[in-house]
Amino acid sequence: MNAIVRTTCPYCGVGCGVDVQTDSDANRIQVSGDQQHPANFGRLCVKGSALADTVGTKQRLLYPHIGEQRVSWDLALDETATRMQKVIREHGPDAVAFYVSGQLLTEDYYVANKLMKGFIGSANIDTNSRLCMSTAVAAHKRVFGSDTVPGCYEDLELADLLVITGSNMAWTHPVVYQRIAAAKAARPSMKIVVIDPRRTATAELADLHLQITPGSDGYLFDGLLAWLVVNLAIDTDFILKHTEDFVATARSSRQRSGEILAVTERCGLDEQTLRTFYHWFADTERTVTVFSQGINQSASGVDKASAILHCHLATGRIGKPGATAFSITGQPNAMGGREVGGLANQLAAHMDIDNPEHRDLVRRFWQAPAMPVGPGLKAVNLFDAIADGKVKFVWIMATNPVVSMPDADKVRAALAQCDTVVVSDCVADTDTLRLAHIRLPAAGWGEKDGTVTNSERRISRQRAFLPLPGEAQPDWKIITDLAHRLGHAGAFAYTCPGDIFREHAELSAFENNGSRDFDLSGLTALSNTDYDNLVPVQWPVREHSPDGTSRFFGNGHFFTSNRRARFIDGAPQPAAQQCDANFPLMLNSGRIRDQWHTMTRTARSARLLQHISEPFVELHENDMTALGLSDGDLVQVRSQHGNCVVRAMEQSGQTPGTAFMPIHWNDVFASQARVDALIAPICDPVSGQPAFKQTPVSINRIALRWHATLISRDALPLPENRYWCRRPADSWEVVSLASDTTISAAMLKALWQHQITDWAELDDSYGHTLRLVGYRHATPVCWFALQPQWPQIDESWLLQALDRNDLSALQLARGTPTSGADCSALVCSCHQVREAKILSAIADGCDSIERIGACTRAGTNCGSCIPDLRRLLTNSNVAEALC
Amino acid sequence: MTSGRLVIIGNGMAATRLLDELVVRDARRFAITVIGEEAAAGYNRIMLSPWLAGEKSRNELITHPRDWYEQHGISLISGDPAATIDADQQCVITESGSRVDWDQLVIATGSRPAMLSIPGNRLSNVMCFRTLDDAQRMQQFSRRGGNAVVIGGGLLGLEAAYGLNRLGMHVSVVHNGEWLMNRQLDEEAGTRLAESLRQRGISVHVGCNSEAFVGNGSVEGLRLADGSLLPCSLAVIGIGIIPEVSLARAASLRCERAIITDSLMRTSVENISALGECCQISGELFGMIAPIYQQARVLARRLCGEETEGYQPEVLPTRLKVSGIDVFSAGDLSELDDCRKLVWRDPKLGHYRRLWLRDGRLVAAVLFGDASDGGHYFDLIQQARRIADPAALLLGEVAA
Repeated sequence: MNAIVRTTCPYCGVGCGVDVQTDSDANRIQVSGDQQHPANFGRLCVKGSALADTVGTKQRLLYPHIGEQRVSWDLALDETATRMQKVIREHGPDAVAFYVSGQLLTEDYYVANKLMKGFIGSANIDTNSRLCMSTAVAAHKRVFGSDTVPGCYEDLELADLLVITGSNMAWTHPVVYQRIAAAKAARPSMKIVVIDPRRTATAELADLHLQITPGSDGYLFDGLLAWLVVNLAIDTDFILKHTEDFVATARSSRQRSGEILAVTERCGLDEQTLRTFYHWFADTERTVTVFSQGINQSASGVDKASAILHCHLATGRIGKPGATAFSITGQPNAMGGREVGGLANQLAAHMDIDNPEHRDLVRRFWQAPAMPVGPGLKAVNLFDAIADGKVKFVWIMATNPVVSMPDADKVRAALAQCDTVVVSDCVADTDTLRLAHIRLPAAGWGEKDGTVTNSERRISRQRAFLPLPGEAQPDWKIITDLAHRLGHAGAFAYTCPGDIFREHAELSAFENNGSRDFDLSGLTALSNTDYDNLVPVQWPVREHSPDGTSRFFGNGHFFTSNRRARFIDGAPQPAAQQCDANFPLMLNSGRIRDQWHTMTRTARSARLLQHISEPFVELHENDMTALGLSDGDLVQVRSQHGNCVVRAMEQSGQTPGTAFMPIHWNDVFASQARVDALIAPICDPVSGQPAFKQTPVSINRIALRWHATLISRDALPLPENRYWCRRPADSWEVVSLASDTTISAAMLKALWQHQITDWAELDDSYGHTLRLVGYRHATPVCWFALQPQWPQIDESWLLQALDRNDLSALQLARGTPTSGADCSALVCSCHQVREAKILSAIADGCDSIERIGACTRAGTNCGSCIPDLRRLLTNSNVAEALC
Repeated sequence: MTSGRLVIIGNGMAATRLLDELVVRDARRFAITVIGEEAAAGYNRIMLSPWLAGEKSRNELITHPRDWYEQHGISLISGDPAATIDADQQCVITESGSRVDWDQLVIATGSRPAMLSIPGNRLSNVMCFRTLDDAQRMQQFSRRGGNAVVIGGGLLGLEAAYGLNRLGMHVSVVHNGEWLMNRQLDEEAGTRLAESLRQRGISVHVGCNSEAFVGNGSVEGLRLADGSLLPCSLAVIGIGIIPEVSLARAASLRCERAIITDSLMRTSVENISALGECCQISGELFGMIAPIYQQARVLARRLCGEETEGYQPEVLPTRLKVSGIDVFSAGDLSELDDCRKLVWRDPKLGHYRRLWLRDGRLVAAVLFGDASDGGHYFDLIQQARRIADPAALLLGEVAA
């Protein structure tokens, strides 16, 4: 084995350190948590633990293509430059756009932003961070005068009261959640409040769960501010010294939300629960409020985030150990993107595009020939402009907007008729790549080299440990090569990521003198070796704080012109859209535990698809009954904007009248499960962030003649169907299929005749059941089961049996071993422990997570399933109590 | 003490089984005389086919050697068949004229092979396949090699064909049904059986009627209805069996297709019983071994004065090995058009199975190539239970 390479995980904003060891020919890698990294201290979640499954050259985009034609890099970039220049010449610089991503490294991001804003002369570079963090950015800037996260992860552990709002961090930020769980276990007096319309895995840790009406968070925090004022639980000294406009804001809040009954009604809470929360908040000096997408993805998200910041400012609990507001980011480098100014309404290095002095400063630093005078198009507007033909050239980097944008069908249509769509990506097939005129192969995780910034402002190196596959290139190199073709070789003379990082640090320090929060003046002199050896560090890194800075604002000193934080009055708003007779259910959307974004990488890992393997909509039992649904039934979910076909699942954590769908599935993996096709393009007016969390929908059962499972070595053409969902399972592909058409074994055998030499088959004169086992010569390569309801199979057994090829076709066709194997839900992906085994351990007296772990190993690796274990424990206790 | 004289006509499997049943009860109760037509002592007729095919030795065939009769004080008259039954005098006269008196008579004359009534059927080397003698003749003949024709594509014919094939003859099977074993198998199984026989070098002609044996003294060929000629130096007729009831009929016992018998195995004449292939109970004839064994037990109990419920009719599966291929059939295959049919085909292993369900209940099953689940299907047919998951059942899930 080679030496360990220290890098970071490419998924969520926690930014865990990962140790990677490759074998001599880099065929296999082993990952483990970096014991020294301050984000995770050795922990990894289930996605991070499965990183080794996701590398490799299979299904990678390896060569540049123009149309379907593989071409050289020179040809691809010449063509890109030519098309871009033609559009700029004929329609001006605002007719071109970049749409980039929080998956890019800071160096990639910096170069892309510099090229667009300083050399093309447009601000039309926006990023998928618009969809997740732009509201937090806007709130920070409005209230603090800068996009500053004041606290750090340690505060979450130090808090006596931790308020988690709009975040299912047990699934979305598992390692931070585990740090909190460990802190609470060590110090049980620590109280945790979870605010979420759903009872999620995160709520398993909560002392108090506020299951509020969807979208009512603004009222809750407005009411909290009023309560704090009325009950004199405010820090008048801090308010007087370090803030402005408190009185007016507090007065408005009292008028609107001073009556607790007004708040309980808006939020759908009982008075006792609300009072408990307000009391706890008022009485607990060390209080941290963590917020995420439930706050950000709202049409009034900036006001909601501001309301949270207000409560912390009013109590002086900002940037102090164990007392702060804390925005936790979704992506591995959302923060880095913010630092370089990758949003259309930012400039660079936390400077404002609207600020003429900042524009001048950056222009001088870059020696930029063409600077935009104002903000560019934010994501939703950008794709509208593409649809309208105003933007004629778009380059999409490392993101999949056809899946992730609201009104996603419209985005697809917009790209389909755009003159030039360039997509650089590391995988071969995404919904967005399918619309690209020019495809550019980008380096993936493990191949690229640079820095990322996590949610607590910590800059870490992401290091390469694999060779570049095929002709893939790092994004910074692709952009730099294009910049050269556009005539800017001098300004883009980078030879390595270190060159870019130094320039980025210099810009942050340029004429700063403490006037701007983002300041890497202490890192401007890094040699390439220093850069390679850079240890994780929290910005700002200044001369007098070379080891970084944990917190901001403990003693005020905000970055507004008068250095005071601003209270900004904003009346709370309900969800932008309300249910009606046609769309009676309120749909929420979000992540699941084991998938990342649009599944381009996590779906390469079979074990990450075992926990949840198909797109679904979760509903409360009452709604399931009213709609005549059983678990697993296929339903059509309809909104004013689009349709999805997914499986209905009963979920006791839902409240009646609400639904939840995951954001991950897309046209590569399922027939019609892009949840964002349902979402209205309604955005917060300040941040431009879309409201993904509340969409009125209708849900109807789909009548189907048959449901089927297809397992094959290679992807096979599918018969006519109403639903399909495919997923890789090691060397197999598993497809679930359902349809209302008639079908026969003969039709399927004809469809698959080129791949299969011999068939074993079960045929049914009633057409209810089909089973096929297809062989290529003597090896099984295809397995198919069709019946009126979903076939019940033991997939892991079957896949192993197909691999071994030691059973008869008849035994294989059964789909389950003859003796009763455990087919219950997989709970612990790491140790492959199923629910039945855990329940039996509980029945045998394992009455704690630790004992279950000791007995079954479940939950002892990444710990992502601990909330599930806790739920099983609780349910068992309840069942026992009822007996 | 004896209960009198018991005479059994016939020394086939029904008779020997009855002897076994009597012996375990009280061998000395009766003075037993067995009058057998064949020279041999008791043998297992079912094993004739495997013996012919060389899969069993002659020793394995013999179930009741002569000294067994001696040990149990049973008189065996072999090679001197019974000629008449005198019911009034309560005696049997053998062909040699010997008189054997009885207090109780059991007729276990079995059946004879059905003869094919076409020209040339008296030619030499046209024969049936029923007895150990027949099998020995076939075995001897096969040493000369050459062509053999077997008429009849049922179980008996196919076993003869397979045996001759194994003995090195070029065998053609001629069957007038649409497919082989058409009473026990569905068309697909019959067709697969023909295919596997062909793979073993046996020619199979289905849907063919035989018109005449041709030859000069010895058979030289079989002419079919379509005019074609199958040359052969041996012709074996295996088209079925006919209950042997001539003695009974001559003695004025009530007979239809066979000797009318009640469920206690009593014929229309007092002190005369019948069992096995020669008897008929409630209109039903018997060819399989299991009901005949049950009859033997019923009769033994009655003769020994034990309580018995009498013979209980049972539906039986056909489970057999044809040319090394496991075949299983259960249920009545004649009227299944209205049924739901589920079929499994595994061409790689040459396995095939088909189930028929009516109103959610299993009514018939055919297995080809792998008959291991046959017993389970048979039970389910008997129980007429509703089948929750017919596909799982077809795939052999016992719990289905």
